[in-house]
Amino acid sequence: MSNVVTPAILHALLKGAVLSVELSVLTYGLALLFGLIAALMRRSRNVATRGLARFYIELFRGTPALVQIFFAYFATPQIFTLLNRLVFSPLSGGRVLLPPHLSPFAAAVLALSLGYGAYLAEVIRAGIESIHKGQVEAAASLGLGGADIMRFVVIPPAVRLMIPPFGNYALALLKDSSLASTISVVELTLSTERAISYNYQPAMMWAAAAVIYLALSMVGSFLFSYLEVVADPIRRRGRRGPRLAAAGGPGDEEAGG
Amino acid sequence: MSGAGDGPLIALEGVEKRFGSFTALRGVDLEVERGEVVVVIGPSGSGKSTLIRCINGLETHDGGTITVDGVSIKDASDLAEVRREVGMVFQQFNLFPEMTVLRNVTLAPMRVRRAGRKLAEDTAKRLLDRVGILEQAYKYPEELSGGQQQRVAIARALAMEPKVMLFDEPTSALDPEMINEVLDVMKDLAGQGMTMIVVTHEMGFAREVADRVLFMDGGRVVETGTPEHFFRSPTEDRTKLFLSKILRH
Repeated sequence: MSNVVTPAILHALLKGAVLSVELSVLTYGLALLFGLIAALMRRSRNVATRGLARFYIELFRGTPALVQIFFAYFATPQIFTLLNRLVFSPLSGGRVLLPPHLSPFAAAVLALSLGYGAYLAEVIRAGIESIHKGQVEAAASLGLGGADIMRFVVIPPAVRLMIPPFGNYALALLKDSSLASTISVVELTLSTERAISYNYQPAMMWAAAAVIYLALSMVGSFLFSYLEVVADPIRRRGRRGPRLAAAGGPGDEEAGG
Repeated sequence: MSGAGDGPLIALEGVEKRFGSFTALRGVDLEVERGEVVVVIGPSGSGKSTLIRCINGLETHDGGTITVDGVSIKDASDLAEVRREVGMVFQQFNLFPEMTVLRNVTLAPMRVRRAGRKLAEDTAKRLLDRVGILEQAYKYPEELSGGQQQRVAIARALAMEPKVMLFDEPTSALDPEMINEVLDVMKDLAGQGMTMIVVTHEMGFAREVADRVLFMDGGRVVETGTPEHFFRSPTEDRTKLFLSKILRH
């Protein structure tokens, strides 16, 4: 068994796990950005803007992540070549603006972030729309402007509602990052496959990979549970009660007030 | 707070409002003088809430004119400008759940009137004391009872120093034992000369506090008069029928 789990194999798994995390975190950040843009576009007054957002969301929710990844990696060289020849080259006097192809990592980030952006767009939209219309009316009747209403009245409670579904999608993305292995991104899944081709221990290695994914998921899960507490003013403060609850009364005002 | 003149603070002329094929207001005229307390009653769907929601532009009226202190709300360059002069209290309180009670009251003065924090908080504490809940200043709305929440909502509206306060069924969502604590605050406010338009089913409040009672039905003002006239000797059959239904118990 001495050559079954060598330092080199451990090192390979660790490197794979780090790349999985990097891929997931970067993708999730971009997905939040795409999701926010699409959610705001869906709430636009302009029909074309709304339609475009709707098209994006339906397209990416309705096609498999694996197909999106293959498209981003294998189809883009053809499309980039065509665009360079027909559009960019004539416009820029013969220069080629688009690269011949995307790196596997870039293709995976692009495909997964657009795909998850479509899901997060719906989470964000639902969160915003779940805010009671009465609170917006109350803010408007106090004379607050649209931007202030969004910033102080709509977004804080909406974000609180979005955190649990955000957490779900973050964990789903971490696991879907394994799809990047199919286009030769050496993340945890592909590192595991390669390690097995050295030590011929599929049972042990796939179990190890599963345990690493599980551990990473649990870290993410705890992180989002923590965010839920932070976003809830009462839980953040603690249920014991506010600072001035016991005393109160006019005598409790700051001296010199 | 300089008034635009000696005219009525609120003036509605031939105000109409439609929601699709439903007509909520059919030519409503109303003038409210400074310091006057007008109570609006009527069956549900009669247009009472729509009427006061039109006065601060939460609903846009389809016909007629509404002026607040001489400024037509259709012509107002900025609706927010009219709204800051018109306080509104809602049936469902509509406090901001992410903010402490104190922050609920200071938000608009700080953001809209650009008041400093110290000044805004001092004013807020004075108002919370006036409505009897200063000791709740650092709690969150969901930790308060309905009656307390509604009193915070009144303090929140007062913090903008409005010229008129609109109340949209302020006690309808409250447990019976909490109704009086809110009505007492409103009575106190009326006693201090605040101009108020109150949509309510609380006939005791109407009798005691109103300068004038307005009975609405089917989007029209059917009858208007002093509480005495109104409850003792209403002239319209529709009013008599309504009163007989609600005053029987």
